[in-house]
Amino acid sequence: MIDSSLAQNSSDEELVKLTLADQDYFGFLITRYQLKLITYIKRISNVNQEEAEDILQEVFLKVYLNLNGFDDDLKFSSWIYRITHNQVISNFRKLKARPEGYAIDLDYVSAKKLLVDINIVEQIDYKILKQAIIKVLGGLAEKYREILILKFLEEKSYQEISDIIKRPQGTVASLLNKAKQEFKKELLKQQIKL
Amino acid sequence: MDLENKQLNHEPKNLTQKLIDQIKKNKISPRPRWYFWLRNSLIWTAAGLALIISALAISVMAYLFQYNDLAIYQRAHKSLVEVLLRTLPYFWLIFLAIFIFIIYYNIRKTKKGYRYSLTVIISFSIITSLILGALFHKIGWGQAIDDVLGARAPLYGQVFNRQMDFWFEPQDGRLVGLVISQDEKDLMILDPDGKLWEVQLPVRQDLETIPDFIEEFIKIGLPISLIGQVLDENSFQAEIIRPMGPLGRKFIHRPVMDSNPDCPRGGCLLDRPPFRH
Repeated sequence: MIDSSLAQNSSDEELVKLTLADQDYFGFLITRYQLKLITYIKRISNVNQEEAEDILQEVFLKVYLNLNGFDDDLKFSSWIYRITHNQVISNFRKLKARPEGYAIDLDYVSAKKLLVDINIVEQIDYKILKQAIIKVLGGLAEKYREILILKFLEEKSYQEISDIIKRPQGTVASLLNKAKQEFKKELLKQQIKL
Repeated sequence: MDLENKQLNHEPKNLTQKLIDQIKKNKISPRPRWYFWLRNSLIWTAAGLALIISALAISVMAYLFQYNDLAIYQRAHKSLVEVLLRTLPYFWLIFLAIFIFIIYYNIRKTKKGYRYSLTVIISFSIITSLILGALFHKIGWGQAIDDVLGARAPLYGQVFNRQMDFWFEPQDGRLVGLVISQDEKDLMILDPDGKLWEVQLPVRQDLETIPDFIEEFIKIGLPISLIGQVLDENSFQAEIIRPMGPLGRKFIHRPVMDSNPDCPRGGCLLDRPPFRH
C-alpha cells in the first residue's frame, strides 16, 4: 500500500528508493516530470503532441528499467533529462530526418534572460519577441539550439547541462558562448530587428 | 502563467496509470544492481587492459631505444635524421596511439568519464602508460616481448624492430650476424637470412691492442654488427665491429635455430651456440 503523503514529501532520489521497493511509487515520479519533459521534448524536436507522448513513454520505461543504475551523485532531474535527450536523438535517428520546425514554449522572463545574456536589451512587445526568438532558435544547428534551451528555457546550471549532454563543463561553457554568437548571427541573417 | 496553461493543455492523458498498467501487465522490473555493476566493471577492465597494453608498447620502445647507438650513426654513412626516420618504431607508436584511444573511449563510457576533457584523459593515459612502461622495462618485459617477436614474428625487422632492418643492409655497408668461426685473420658470420659471410679484418692489429675487449664480444655464437663494404658475394670488408647487445638476439639466432633440431625456436642461449665450426 503506497503512502501518498510520504511520496509527496519525498525528494526525487527518495522516490527512486521507494519505487525500487514498490513499483506503484513510480507514478509519483511520472507525475512530477511528465509536463516538464514533454515541454522539453517539443522544444528540442519537431515532433507533434502524439509523437512527444510516445517518446515520453519510452523515456519513463527506460527510467524504470534503469532505476538501479541511477547514480546518487547526480541530481535525478539531470539523469531523467539525459535519458530524454538520448531518446530524442535516438528518435531522430530512427526517422533519419533533421527536425525542421519547433513547438517552443517561451515565457517572457526566459526570453528576456536570453536576450540580456547576449547583450540585446531593447524593449519590445512580448509576442514579437517570442516569435523572433523561436524563429532564430529554429534556424540554429541542433547542438546550439539545445544548449540555449537547456540554459535559458529549462534554466539548468552548467553542471546540470554537463550531466545531461555528457560533456565536460568547459565544453559546455564554450558551446554556450558559441551558441550565443550563432544566435546573434542568425538574427542578422534573418534580418530580425529587436 | 501563459506557459503553465499551455503545459496543462499538453498534459498527456492518464500517462501515469497507462505506464503503471503496462509495467504490471508486462511484468517489467528494473534491471538488477549487478547488471550495472558488471557493465561498469567491464568498462574499467577494458580501460585497465588497454592501459597495460599501452605500457607494454612503451616498455618495448624503451628497450629498442636503449640500444640505439647514436654515436655510430655518422659512421653508418647516414645523417642522424635519416637514421631516426628509418629506425623509429612506427608500429609501436601506432599501436600505442590505438590503445590510448581505447583507454579514452572506455573512460568516457564510465559513469563520470564525460566530466573530463579529451586533453585530461589523454594526458592521464599517456603519463600513466609512461610510468607503467618504465616499470615494465625495468623488470625486463620490453626485452621479453622483443625476444618472442624476434623468434617468431614475420616481418620482424620491417615492422617490430626496424633497427634490425637498418643494420642488415650489406649493400649499404651494414651487416649483422652470428660469429660462427674465428681465426687470426678473419671471421665467419651467419646473417639473419642464413647466408654465410667471410669477414675480413684489416683493423685486426688495432683491435688486438685491446685483446680483452675482443675476447668479450667476438665469440662464437655471439651476434655482432659490422660497418664496412661488400667485397664480393660472400665477403665483407669490416671497418668497425661492434657487439650487438641483446637487441633482436632471437632474430639473429633464427637461421641457427631453424637448422638445428636440438634448438627449438627461442630455446638457444647466446653463450652456448648449437653448433661450432
